[in-house]
Amino acid sequence: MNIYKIFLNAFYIWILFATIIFAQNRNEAAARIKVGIVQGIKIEPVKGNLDFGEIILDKSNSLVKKEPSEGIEFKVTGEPNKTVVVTYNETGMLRKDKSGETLPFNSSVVHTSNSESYANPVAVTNGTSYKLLKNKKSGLLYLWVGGKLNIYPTQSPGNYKGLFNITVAY
Amino acid sequence: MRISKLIFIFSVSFSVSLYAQFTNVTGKAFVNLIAPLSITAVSGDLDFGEIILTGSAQTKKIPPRAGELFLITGHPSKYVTISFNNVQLDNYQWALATGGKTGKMIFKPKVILNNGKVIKSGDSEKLIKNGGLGKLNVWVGGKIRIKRNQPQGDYIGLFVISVSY
Repeated sequence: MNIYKIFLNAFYIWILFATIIFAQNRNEAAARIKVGIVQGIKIEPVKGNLDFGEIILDKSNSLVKKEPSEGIEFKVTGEPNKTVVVTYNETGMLRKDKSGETLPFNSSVVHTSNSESYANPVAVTNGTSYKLLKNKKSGLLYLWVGGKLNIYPTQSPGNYKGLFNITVAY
Repeated sequence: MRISKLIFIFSVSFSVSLYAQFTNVTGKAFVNLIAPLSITAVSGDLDFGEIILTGSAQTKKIPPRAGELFLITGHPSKYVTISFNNVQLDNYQWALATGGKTGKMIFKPKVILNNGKVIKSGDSEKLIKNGGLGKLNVWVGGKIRIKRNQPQGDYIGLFVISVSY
């Protein structure tokens, strides 16, 4: 009987020790943290202009064109292989000094990917995404802008000016 | 002979306390069974998404309730110690794959409870009785500081939160 009790008590004590040990419980969980840092985007003029020069009025409807290759070239720099949305004014108005008389302008935009020279131009649709192709450590896209002027027979002589806006965004 | 050996083994194992028990043997013992403690990720994430370098230093935050939710389960009304640390994030994998420049940044966690109480690492909190268990919701957000000239790339790190009785 004494032996039985000794066993029983030893067992209870063992359970008590074991319980205390098991009660020192610890657990952990983890979460992955992610951050993507991308190069900022910028657009800058490279060369050219949208100066149509002097046009002699001939009292008829005339269309004066400037091809994108003869217009202004822009360089877009950003994160390689990332796409950018290109938006621009498809139409605009040039205004005559003082009088404010208008002259309609229609833009024409193409890109040559990451090539600075005018090779294999592709038409750029307003509001569409284009990829910045890797060139060394940057992603590049070259945009070329030309356009045309609709000159009416009644257009009065003078200097006409306007602003063309082009925007790029990730 | 065997019994006496066993008695000897138990005597050695529980020497002082057992010896005291021998003088007052009743066959009763007290056992307090404690529910095991666990912490699991329930929902959300700690993804800061894409951040565009602007040429200036910037700080980005994920509010805790927009971050990751963890559920602690254990013994009702028992206090648990919650521990965690800042995490260093790096873009080493990205740099290795792309040949880009390596960089590091520090993630500073912000941990709150359901009631909005901010938890610091090492704080003890009581598990709220819920059914037969004690539970506690822990929300984790945090902030990172991006240097003006932070190298670009995909930065990753592992946030670890531990709980103990």
